[in-house]
Amino acid sequence: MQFKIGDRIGKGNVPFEEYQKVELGTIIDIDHDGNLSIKWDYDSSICRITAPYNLLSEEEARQRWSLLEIEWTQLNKAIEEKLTAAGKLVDEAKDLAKNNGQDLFHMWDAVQPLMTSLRNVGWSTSSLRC
Amino acid sequence: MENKFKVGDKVVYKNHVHYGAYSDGFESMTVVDLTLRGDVIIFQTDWYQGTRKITIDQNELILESEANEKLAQLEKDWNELEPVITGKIKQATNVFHEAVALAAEKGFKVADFDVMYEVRGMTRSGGWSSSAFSC
Repeated sequence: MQFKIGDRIGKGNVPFEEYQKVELGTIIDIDHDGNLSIKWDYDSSICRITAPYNLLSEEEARQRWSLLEIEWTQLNKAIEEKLTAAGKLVDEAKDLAKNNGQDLFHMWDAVQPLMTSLRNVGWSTSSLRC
Repeated sequence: MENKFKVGDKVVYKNHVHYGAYSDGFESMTVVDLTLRGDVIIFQTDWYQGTRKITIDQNELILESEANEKLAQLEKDWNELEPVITGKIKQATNVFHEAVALAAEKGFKVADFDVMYEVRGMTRSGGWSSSAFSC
């Protein structure tokens, strides 16, 4: 993609993060080697970018970000549904235990796989069993 | 009041017969005396008080033989219940793994998503909630 001074551009390789906005800027200089100086909107910082650029036009960058946002929202919903379903199963297990005079809290052998899985994704504390 | 028990009987606290994940069984005690109002006197040994005579309402007690029957039934119930509960938790774990895989397919971690409410709900159901859980 050929750029010229004054072009509005956006980063084309930024992974999506919730609450993050598309990173846009303006090309303010191009040197004789083709390196770009870009002033970024979010903090007015200027940085020099050497080829090959991973830049898109502002419109393309916005479109890319919108698609990532949609994908994220759909994925978030799907994951939320899965975790709600998992929670419902734990609830059922808890009720089964309770209705039979038992306490799921004490059934460590049964719940260990779930606790381990939670720990493996970073949801764990030493006080989880407290 | 008529006594259900006699001196020498082995008795057990009715509510102390238990079979489950963390304990099973009961402790039996021998009747050493009876009171006129229907109480039972036994020797009870506590780790902190040593052996002492205590008086118990006879309605709180059952015979050891009854306790054995009750325990056998509780064990049977537990052996039927435990795999069902374990199965539910396994199912929950599998569904959780599906969520992890869904996130991983797109290069994310499940913890990147806004699902703490659901995770908290899940752990609260199990009785494992803690204020430090989100750390």
